[in-house]
Amino acid sequence: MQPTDEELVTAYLDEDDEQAFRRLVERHQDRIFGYLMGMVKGRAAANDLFQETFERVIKAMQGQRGSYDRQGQWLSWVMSIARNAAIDHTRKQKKWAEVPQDEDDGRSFWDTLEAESPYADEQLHRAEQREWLDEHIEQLAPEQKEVLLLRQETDLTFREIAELQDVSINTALGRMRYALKNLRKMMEASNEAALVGALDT
Amino acid sequence: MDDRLRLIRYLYGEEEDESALARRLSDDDDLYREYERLRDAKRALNDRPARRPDPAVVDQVVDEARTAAQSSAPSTGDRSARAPSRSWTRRLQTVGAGLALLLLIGLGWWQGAGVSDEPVADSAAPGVLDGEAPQAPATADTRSADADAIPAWDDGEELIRIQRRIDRLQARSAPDRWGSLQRVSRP
Repeated sequence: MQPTDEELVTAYLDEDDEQAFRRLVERHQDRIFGYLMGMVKGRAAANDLFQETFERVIKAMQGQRGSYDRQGQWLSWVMSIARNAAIDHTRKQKKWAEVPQDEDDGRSFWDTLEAESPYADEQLHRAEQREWLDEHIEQLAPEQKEVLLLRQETDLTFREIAELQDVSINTALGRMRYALKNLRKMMEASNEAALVGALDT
Repeated sequence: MDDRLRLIRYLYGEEEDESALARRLSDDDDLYREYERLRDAKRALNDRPARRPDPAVVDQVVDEARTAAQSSAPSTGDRSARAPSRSWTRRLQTVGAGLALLLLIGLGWWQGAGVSDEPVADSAAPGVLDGEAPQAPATADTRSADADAIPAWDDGEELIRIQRRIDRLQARSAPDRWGSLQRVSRP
């Protein structure tokens, strides 16, 4: 039976068990990193923020800065720290000139989705598909994008997301609804554009 | 709650009354169309591969966690006391129970011995009063018990003193007693 997050937290804090801490990080790394990748541009920045998040987490858990009260919601607590780190990063980035966007290659989402390829190609295809979706998620309103990333990447419940964002659960659900609807519209628009492109050639 | 918001909860497995929502979907075509559109978008999101940080970053984070744990170890005053391990707690409980039992047995034995000594003390007192030589007590405890049983005034010297006083008084009263036997004739 897998130890719970709180059991691993206790093992790390009370017995200095670094392997327990490693298990915690490895258990949730995809969720936290996926959210950070969606919030900031570039893998290097997400790696930096991932590390910065855990620096804050470790300090708080050791009582050096802030505090962690063991309430059985370790991931929610870590996500609130990751969110603050991402917001700080975004504010700093806004001081600089806008980062130039990559040129749209005109390919449709549905083209990437329906292609059939061997395994090696499939991985590339999935990576491209992901990239395509990320670009469209980036175009969502910030509050819609964040709810979508929190629910989709970190698997927090809508109630936990509402608490994190300090809004009602209906607001969180409404933002998610608009995020999915807008994303669907973008897919359709992209598909139509690709179809038009195909007819022109 | 609005049915359209309930659709979102349903898609993410958080809807409490799924059967009621299913009935609403079968009755309302617009709601069903919206459900299909939302479901398609979610499927596309679900198909994205997971992304994880560089392994070196995870190693670095764990190193920092170890360093932080080691540096905070000496300042134990700031941390809450560790609870004793269960095995030690059990051992201490067993030893404590044993000691408590021994104490009870000891108290019982001591009280029982004290009660059985009391008649000895009482029997010793008349012996002294009768002028007999007191029997040698068996232990120091019984000796102190005998001493407590005899009142302070009831020791041998005091009795002798009282006896002498009685003798003196009797000696003084002897002429009266003699006189009482012989009538005094007055002229």
